[in-house]
Amino acid sequence: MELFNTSTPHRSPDRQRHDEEQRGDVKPEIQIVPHRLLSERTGMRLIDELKTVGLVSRIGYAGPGDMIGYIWVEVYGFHSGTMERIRTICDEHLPFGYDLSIGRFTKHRKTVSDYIREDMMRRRREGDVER
Amino acid sequence: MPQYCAGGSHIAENRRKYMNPEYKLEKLRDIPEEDIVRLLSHRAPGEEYKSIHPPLEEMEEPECVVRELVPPTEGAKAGDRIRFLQFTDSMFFAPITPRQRPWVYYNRWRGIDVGVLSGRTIIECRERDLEKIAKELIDSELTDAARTGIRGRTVHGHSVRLDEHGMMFDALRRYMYDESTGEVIYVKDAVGGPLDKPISMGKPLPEDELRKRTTMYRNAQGGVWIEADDPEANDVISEVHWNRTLGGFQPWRKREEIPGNKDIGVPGLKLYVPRGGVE
Repeated sequence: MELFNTSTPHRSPDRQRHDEEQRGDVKPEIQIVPHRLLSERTGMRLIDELKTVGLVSRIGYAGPGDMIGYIWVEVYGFHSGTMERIRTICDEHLPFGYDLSIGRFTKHRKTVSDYIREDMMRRRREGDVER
Repeated sequence: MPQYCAGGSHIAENRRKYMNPEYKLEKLRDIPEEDIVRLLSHRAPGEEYKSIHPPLEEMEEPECVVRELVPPTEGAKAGDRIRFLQFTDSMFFAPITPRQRPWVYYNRWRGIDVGVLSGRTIIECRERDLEKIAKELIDSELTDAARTGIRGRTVHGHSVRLDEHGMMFDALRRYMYDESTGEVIYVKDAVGGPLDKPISMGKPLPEDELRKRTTMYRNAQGGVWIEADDPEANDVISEVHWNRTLGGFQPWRKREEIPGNKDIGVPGLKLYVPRGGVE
């Protein structure tokens, strides 16, 4: 998808291949920021209902402690009724208000620190740790 | 009538009201004195006050005009320890803001030391004076059960989004919302120690009531926008700011003598932000 094309002409061939492999599954997300922090019960009720919307691939959430402050709805694409359905569900569960935005908000490919961590784990497993 | 605060909105009116020592703060709840002592956790209820010096009557004081002029407070007379009480006020329309607390305190009580930070206000004074002040403050309209926190430590949370019931975030979970009664219940004391018996603070104020009682200008969620709705208050603030930062703390200097941009205040101000704010 052109929107999420992050490659530049100055990448090594390896990196370009890697980018192309990963870019295949980058899907857009809808971020829901409720104006108040949700309890786990309300949050999960909202998330369960969001799962019934068509074209939703998966849902992530985060927040302080056991509360839910952000919800990310990953979708395969947008149908004419997708946003309307999500808005209706949010109106019903979040009477105190919320903000919606479309973009990519969570990690969709490995970062440098992921590679480093992976490498560290592998070396630790193999007993090859420099001290 | 002293001029406590400028402005024509009900926010400014509230500020003047709270700062005026002749105005009696409205009592919203009645927490027993014993519960206040347990909440403060400086001493056990019924325990005697510890002292750091003998009562003033037994002491020989140096000859001093000020000492003769100013009568000591109860706590000072008895030689009590200095103890503290700290409040956290939520940004979401708490009845009062940290900066206005010392204005109120200093107009109402003697023998206190107030410290203000962005989200919290600490007050230090002699122990028995503190208990009296705490009782007055916690019972009054300056404390809301949900938007004001009594927090000796781990005060963080004034700017965090509220939870579903409109409660301010508290990392130590000193209080909880009782869904069956709709009341706020303190299960831990100010510094996070467990309470043997929970203390009920009563029901939180409804949203529209909070917006009426608050002393907070806030261009969001139905609050009063200072630049647009109360230009007089904003003009006075910018005037004070200008004279202070560029005038260099010289109140005797005329305004015309201070160099720089004179075109300040709301009349020439372009408001870029929409009503309701950007969030």
